Amino acid sequence: MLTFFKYRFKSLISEKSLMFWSLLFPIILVSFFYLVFSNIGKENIFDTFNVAIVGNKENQLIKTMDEVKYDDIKTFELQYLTKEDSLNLLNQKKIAGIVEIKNNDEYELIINDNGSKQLILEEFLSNYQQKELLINDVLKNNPELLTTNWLETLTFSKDNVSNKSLSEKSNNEMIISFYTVIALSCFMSSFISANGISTIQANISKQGARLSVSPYHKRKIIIIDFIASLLIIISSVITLLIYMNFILKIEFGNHLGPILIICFVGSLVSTAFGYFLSLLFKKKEGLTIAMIIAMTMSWSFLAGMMGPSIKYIIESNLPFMKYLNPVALITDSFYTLYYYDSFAMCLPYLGALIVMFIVFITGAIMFLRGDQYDSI
Amino acid sequence: MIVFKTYYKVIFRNKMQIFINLFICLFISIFFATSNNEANSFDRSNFKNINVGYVYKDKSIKNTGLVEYLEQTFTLKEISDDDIKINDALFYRSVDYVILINADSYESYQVPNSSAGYIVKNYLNNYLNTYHSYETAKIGGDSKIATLTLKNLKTTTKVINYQSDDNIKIKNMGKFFNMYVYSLLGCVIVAISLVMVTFNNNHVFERTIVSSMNVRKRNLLIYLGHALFGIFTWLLMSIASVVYFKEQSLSIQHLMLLINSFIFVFPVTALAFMISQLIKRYTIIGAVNNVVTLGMSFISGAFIPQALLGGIVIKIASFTPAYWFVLNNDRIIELSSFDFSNLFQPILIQIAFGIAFIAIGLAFAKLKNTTTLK
Repeated sequence: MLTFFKYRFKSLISEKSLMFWSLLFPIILVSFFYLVFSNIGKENIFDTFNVAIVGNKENQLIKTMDEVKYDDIKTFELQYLTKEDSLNLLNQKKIAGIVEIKNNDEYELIINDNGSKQLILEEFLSNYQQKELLINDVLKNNPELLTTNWLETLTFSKDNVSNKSLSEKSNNEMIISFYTVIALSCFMSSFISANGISTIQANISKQGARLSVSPYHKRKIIIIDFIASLLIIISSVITLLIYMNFILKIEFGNHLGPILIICFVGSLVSTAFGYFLSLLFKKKEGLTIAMIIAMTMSWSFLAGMMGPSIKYIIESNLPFMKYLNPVALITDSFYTLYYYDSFAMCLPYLGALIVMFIVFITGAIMFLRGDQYDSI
Repeated sequence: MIVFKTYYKVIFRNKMQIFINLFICLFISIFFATSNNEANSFDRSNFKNINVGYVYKDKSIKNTGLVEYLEQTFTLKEISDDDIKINDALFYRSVDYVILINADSYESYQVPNSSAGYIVKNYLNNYLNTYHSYETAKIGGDSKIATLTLKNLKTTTKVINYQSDDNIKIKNMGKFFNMYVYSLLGCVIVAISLVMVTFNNNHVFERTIVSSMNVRKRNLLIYLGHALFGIFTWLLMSIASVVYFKEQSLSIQHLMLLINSFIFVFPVTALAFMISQLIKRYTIIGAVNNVVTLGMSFISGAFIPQALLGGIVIKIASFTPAYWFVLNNDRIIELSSFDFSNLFQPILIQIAFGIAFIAIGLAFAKLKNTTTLK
C-alpha cells in the first residue's frame, strides 16, 4: 500500500510543468495583487485642484477659497477667466468646476463630472452660504452679539465624532482579494487531481490499463491517488500561505490550527471537484480544463477577487449564492477567522464546503462505479 | 491552406470549451462594468445607497434633528446597542458607517479607506457645528435651534451639472471596453492554447517539420488563424457592447473604443501566439491563462482605475500593451471634441508590442524546430 502510494505520488510530481505552475502560479498572481493593492487608499484626494472663477474676484467667497488649505496644501488653485474660456477648460477636464458669481452674493457652480473634487467644491460653497445665513439669522435675533467675540468663537471644522473600532483587526476589504487568491489557488490545483484520475482509468491511459489488470483493488487505487493528489494540493496552498504571511506580510491572525483546517477542507473539495469534472467529461481533457477555468474564474469573480464590492453586491442581493460558491466559502472562512478571531464563526462555511465535497465525491464515485472492460 | 483548414477543424472540435469560456468572460465583463462600485460613490445621486447604522442612546431634540437631517440624504438603519450586531452589520456591509448617538458625545465605526465614511462624517460634523453655533448665540430653546439648523442646512449652492446620464453610460461603456483586457486575453489565450496543444503534439509536430511546407509559412498561417479567431471574439464582444449600450452605440466614443479595441486584438493574438509556442500540455493552460490575464488586467487598470495605481505599478504596466489600451480607452471616454491627436501614440505602441511578440514567437518556433531536428 505504502509502495503504491509512493509510486502514485512520484508519478503525479513527475508532471514537472504542472507542478511548476501549481506552485508558481499563485505566487506570481498574489505578487501582482500585492503590487496593485498596496497603493490603494494611500492616494491623497486632497491634492490642489484647478477651479475657474467667473465674475468679481474681489468677492469675499473668492478670498476665502484662495486661503483654504488642508494639511498645509492649498485646496483650490483659482483661475480668473471668462465664461467661454472656462467652459472650454471644463470640457477638456482641465478644471474641476466653474464658480460663477452673480450680483456679488449669488453663486453658481458649473461642473461636468461627479468625482471627489466636484463634491469637495460643492460642499465648500454650500457650507459657505450656510454660514452666511447663520450669521444673518443670529444677528437678526440677537444683534448685541456683534459687540461680543461670538463671531471669533465660531468653528466649522471641529471634529465632533470620535472613531472607534470593535475589532483590533482592520476591516480592510482589500484583504478579501488576497484571500480569494488562496481559494483560487486551491481550485486551480484541481488540475492535479483531474490529471491524476484520468491517468488511472483503463480506457484513457496505458498506465491506467496496466493498473486495472494489477492485483490492487480499484477502490484502494482511487483512495491512494486521492490522498496523493490531496497532499500535493495542500502543499502548494501552504507554500502560498507561507509566502503571503512571511514575505508579503499579509495578516491571517494567530490561528495556525484553524487556518490549516480551512486549507485542508478547501483542498479536499478541490480534489473532489477535479475528480468529478474529469469523470464527467471522460476522454475530453480540453473540456475538463475549460470547465475548471470557467467555473473557478466565475466563482472567484463573485467572491470579490476583481473588486470586493462585487462580493457585497452578491451578499446583499443574493445571500444564499455564497453557499453555492466554494471560492466564496473558503474566502469567507479566512476572513471571518481573521476578523472575529473565532473559529466557531467560520464553521457554517466549512460545513457547506464539506457538503460540497460529499456531493462531488459521490458524483465521482457514481461515474467510476461498474466500469469493466472486456478489451481496451 | 491545409494548415489553415486544420486550424479551424481543431477550433471546431473544441467549440464547447471555447464557447463556455467566451460566455463566462462576457458575463464577468458586463457584470463588472455595470456594477455600482467605489468609482461613482462621490456622486450625490448615489448617497441614498450609503447605509448608515445608528444607535439611538439619547433621543434629545438636538439628536432627533440630527437623525432627521441624515435621513434626508442617506438610508438610515437603527441598530441595537450590541457590539456583536454592530460588528456583523459592518462585516457584512449591511451598513457602511455606524454612529453611536450619546447624550454628550458621538462615536463612529467605519470601514477603513471608505469614501462613504468620509462623506457621512462630513455631514455629521456639519450639523453638529451649525447647531453648536446657534446654541452659543442663545437665540432660543433646543426646538428653535434644531429648526433653524435644519432650515440652514437646506441652503445649498445652485449646481449646473453638464454631466448627463449619457456621460455616465459612456463611462460604464469605457469600463466595459477596459474589461476587454480580461475577456479578450482570456478567450484568445485559452482557445489558441487548446489549438496549439494539438499542433505542438510531438508526433504531429515531427511530421509537420519534415513536410515540404516552409516552417515560416506554416507559422504565419497559424498566426493568421489566431488573428481571425481574435477578430471573431472581438466581433462577438463588440456586438455585445452594441446590444448592451444601445443608446450610446455608434456614438463617436463608441466608434473610437471599437477602433482601439480592434487594434488591441493584434498584440493580444501575437502574445497568445508567443505563449502558445511554449505550451505542450492541456493542464497548464489554466495557470498560464490566469497569470497572464489576471496579472495584466490588474496592473493595466482594467479592474482598478489607473489613477489609483502606484507609480511602480504604472511603470511595470507600461511594458504591457494592455496599459496603453486602457490609457487610450480612458482618453476616449473623456473626449469632448474631435481631437484625436493624443490617441495615436498608444495605438502605435500597441502595434509595436504586437510586432515584438510575433518576432519572439517566431524565434521560439525556430528554436523548437532546430532542437527537434537535432
